[in-house]
Amino acid sequence: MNDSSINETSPALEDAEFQDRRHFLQGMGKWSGAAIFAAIAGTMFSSTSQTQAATWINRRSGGRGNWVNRSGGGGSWINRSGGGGWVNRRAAGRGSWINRR
Amino acid sequence: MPDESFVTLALLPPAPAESHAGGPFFVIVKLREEFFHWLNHPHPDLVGIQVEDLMGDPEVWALAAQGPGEIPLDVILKDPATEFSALYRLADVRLVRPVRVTIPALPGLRKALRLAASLQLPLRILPGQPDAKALLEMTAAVDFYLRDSMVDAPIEPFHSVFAALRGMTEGNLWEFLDQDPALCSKHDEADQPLQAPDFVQSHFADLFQKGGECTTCPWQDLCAGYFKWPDPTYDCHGVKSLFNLLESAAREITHDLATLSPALHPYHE
Repeated sequence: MNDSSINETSPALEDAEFQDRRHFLQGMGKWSGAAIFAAIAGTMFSSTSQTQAATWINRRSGGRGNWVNRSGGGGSWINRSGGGGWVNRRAAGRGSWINRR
Repeated sequence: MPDESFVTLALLPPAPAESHAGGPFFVIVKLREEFFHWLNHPHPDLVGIQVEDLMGDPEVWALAAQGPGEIPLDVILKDPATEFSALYRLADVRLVRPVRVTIPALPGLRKALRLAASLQLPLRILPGQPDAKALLEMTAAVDFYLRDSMVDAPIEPFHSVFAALRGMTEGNLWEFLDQDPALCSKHDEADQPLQAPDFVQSHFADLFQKGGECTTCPWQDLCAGYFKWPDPTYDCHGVKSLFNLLESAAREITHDLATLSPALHPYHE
């Protein structure tokens, strides 16, 4: 195990922290769910270049359900670029609000 | 600005889309027959359908709600004041496939937002160069996005700007709104791009070269000259207030998070 892996926060802890923050803000009753998600998780991806457009073209690679998370019950979209895309390139990202249902 | 490793998505009329060999694309359909064709016979590189002028056709949405496939739809409303009530037709469609609603910043925007949000539909508001009436609609929309408990799905560009102001993402309005031709390039009937891939960079550089309002604007990175197109003399006073609202909210939610008891988030101690 190298230093970088030691310093990494595990996905489980990240998710627990995310959920705590989300529930805390929800409990305040003054923020929308979308605003809470944007504030603590961004738009569900980093804007690193390689991945940005990939979603649009990767949709066939693992079947159509791969690039758009169908478990979202229809609320999925594509996140293609620095925040504005509407199909999620990282639909499996933590805390995805499209995965909640 | 996007870098050169991006793959550009083309936005094509139906005719050039049939023979398009230039990578992934959205097809723009305006007729029921076109919609049925592309829904039932998708091209291998088709990644979605932009639907225009069909909000009032219930048969279109009945078919879209049945399938086949999971091809995403971007549904364009041109006049939210008269079309908003038809959004309920998308309630069943969103259960079958991804749906986004795109709405211009015009009177009726708020009604459309409320109905779309109640259906948990992601929204894209195209602000253009908003006049006083449109700015009122946009200001109300910002507040709705931030504060209404009904809003779970993103409302762009507020969602991404808010995330950016929290340091959670990066980019500019052109990107957030899928209007940067380097990322999403609209083509003509001859399958030629309507704008150069470096349009945003050139436009923004030109604004700076002319020494206009952008040079001292605190929102220049997020805006990238969006509100100076097509009219570079547009007065940005009103739209700056929208950025200010989102920035103020970003500070407020940051403060709220700072009050979260450490006992509730011991992970980094």
